[in-house]
Amino acid sequence: MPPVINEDKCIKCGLCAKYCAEDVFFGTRVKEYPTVAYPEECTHCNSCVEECPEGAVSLRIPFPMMLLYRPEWPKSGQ
Amino acid sequence: MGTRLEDLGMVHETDVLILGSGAAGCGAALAASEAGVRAMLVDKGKLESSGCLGGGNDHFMAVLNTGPENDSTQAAVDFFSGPVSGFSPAMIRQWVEVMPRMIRSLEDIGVEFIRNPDGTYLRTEGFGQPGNWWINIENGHRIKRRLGRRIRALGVDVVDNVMVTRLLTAGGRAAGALGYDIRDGTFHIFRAKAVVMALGNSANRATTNSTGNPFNTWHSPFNTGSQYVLAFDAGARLINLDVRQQATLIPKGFGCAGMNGINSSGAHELNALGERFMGRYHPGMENGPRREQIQATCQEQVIGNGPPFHMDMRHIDPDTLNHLQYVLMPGDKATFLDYCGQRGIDFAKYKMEVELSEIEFSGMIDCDDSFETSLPGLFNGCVFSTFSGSSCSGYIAARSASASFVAHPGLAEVDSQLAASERERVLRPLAVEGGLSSGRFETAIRQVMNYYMGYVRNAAGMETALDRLALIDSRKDTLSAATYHELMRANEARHLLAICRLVTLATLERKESGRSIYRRSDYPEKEKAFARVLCVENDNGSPRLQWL
Ligand SMILES: Cc1cc2nc3c(=O)[nH]c(=O)nc-3n(C[C@H](O)[C@H](O)[C@H](O)COP(=O)(O)OP(=O)(O)OC[C@H]3O[C@@H](n4cnc5c(N)ncnc54)[C@H](O)[C@@H]3O)c2cc1C
Ligand code: SF4
Ligand code: SF4
Repeated sequence: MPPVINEDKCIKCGLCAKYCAEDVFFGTRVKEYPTVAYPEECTHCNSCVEECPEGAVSLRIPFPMMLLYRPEWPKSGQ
Repeated sequence: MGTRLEDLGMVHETDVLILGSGAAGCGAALAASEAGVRAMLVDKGKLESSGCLGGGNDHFMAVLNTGPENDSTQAAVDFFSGPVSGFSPAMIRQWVEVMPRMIRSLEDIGVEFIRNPDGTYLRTEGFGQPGNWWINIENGHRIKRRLGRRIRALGVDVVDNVMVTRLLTAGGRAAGALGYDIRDGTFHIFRAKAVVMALGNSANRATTNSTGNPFNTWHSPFNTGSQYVLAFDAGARLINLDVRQQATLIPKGFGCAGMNGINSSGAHELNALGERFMGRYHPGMENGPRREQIQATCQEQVIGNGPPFHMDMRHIDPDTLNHLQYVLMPGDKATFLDYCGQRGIDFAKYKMEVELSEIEFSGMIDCDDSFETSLPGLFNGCVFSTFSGSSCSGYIAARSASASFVAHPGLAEVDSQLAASERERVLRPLAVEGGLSSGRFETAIRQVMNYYMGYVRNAAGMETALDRLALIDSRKDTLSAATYHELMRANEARHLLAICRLVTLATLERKESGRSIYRRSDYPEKEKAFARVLCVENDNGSPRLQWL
């Protein structure tokens, strides 16, 4: 579930990159928007989402997990 | 003049060096700090998010001696010690003794273990265990953040983002480790009086689930066998590489744990024909030992009764299901609800499709009752598995390590020539142009392991696997890395290859089925004669296998 950064919310604090155990944000520079350098290596541990002070990170489900997606099913929790 | 250590990189000195800052490393840090010794915690990730606990855990296993026979130390000893477990009764007793202490430490930092109205812990059963040994955790996803903060506050020295690539020995004792910073390549030299190995029991990325993505795994894909490879290289004896291989069922395409909660809530596993087939394989049905459910599902798949496989939970009471889906499962992996949302999963209304996970290789560094390995000064912090097993093992190992160096109070000299050649070796892929990328190298290993070391194996296949892995090994020096990130993956891939060779060799030796998650088609029965532990030792660079 590679992270997607909402640049409108991001304040370039770098915490997501600092906390990612998989180093998915490799190459992210101080005071710049984080780079999702190795999206396919994300293990969706949620650390970057947890750490982001601005709620600017969301995780998206990659294609292989989606293959059997059935849009007509109701969403859970409803 | 010889190279000075300081010219090679950063030199650190400590009493107890703890390698790995997952649950085991954290348990070790707590014990070292309690013992009042200097401790240093090293990990290639960051303490607050590293390891399998990084994204959260929702259950803690605890035998609490509350009265009933099945909640006693003896029940735990009976359950965990077997001729092939590698655990002595004394080891298990220490684990049980440390459990309440670990719970207190976790409660102190705000981890909420769920309680019944009468104040006792809410506990459930699982894994075919005789008692309700699993305490549910309410706020599981931030445990690692809390532990990290506590450990730093205790004054333990923390070194994040350093990958350990070699152990140091001197005069037949462990004396430290070498590693490098995964983000900028800085070389690190650690000198210590005792070393605790807490690099995790699981070796992942050797096979994949149906998504084909080696990072979409049950346990942390960051672990590729360093725990075993470093110990083996340094001369410590390994055991159980042949039997301690693990797998689970996962929600289809979603590498995540959680089957414990699902099974213990009373879910039924159904095959493609809609049959609840477990009864044909094990009287414990879905709540028997995990390997039985894995083997049964695999067998159903082989004969064509699946995929798909489903977990049917619709008969379970709605409150239990609601708690399971919306509290416990996201406590294990917060993204579970995103997955549910996108797949339309609702435990109360629909069956959930599941699949066999990737196979995870594992084993144990052999150790005595004080968790000291066959290499003096080197302690095994990952004797037991699970959150409880790891944190308590780390604790016991560091407690012993802290007491051990009274007799060996000094720091041993480090051979700077050896450190220089290790530095050259680990950084080499950066200098190789146009060679094999770590990705391609790893894919080659996976092709071999997926094909010949899957759920059903035989001698001819495993011999072929060993040939292929040797061929891949012969290309090791052509590994090339364009960035420091790729360099880390290259060094992980080297460990992955080494552990794959060792586990294949060990499995070939065990000519029976039924003690692990795989079946040998050439030896389908469980044999009494193999109720023994197989050990692997380093004999001048080559593995030597021996039955204990
Ligand atoms: C999503 C998920 C949910 C789980 N849920 C539960 C649960 O509810 N209850 C339960 O009991 N168990 C659960 N488990 C299992 C439990 O989390 C693990 O058994 C336990 O955390 C393992 O801890 P460890 O310290 O032994 O290993 P790990 O957590 O794997 O830690 C090993 C550490 O070593 C580091 N490392 C590895 N190699 C190197 C190297 N060469 N150099 C430097 N560092 C290195 C890694 O970065 C890692 O931080 C779950 C696991 C996962 C993944
Ligand atoms: S979810 Fe975890 S692995 Fe993925 S990018 Fe975020 S921190 Fe890294
Ligand atoms: S943590 Fe959030 S705000 Fe900070 S850099 Fe990352 S995305 Fe931006």
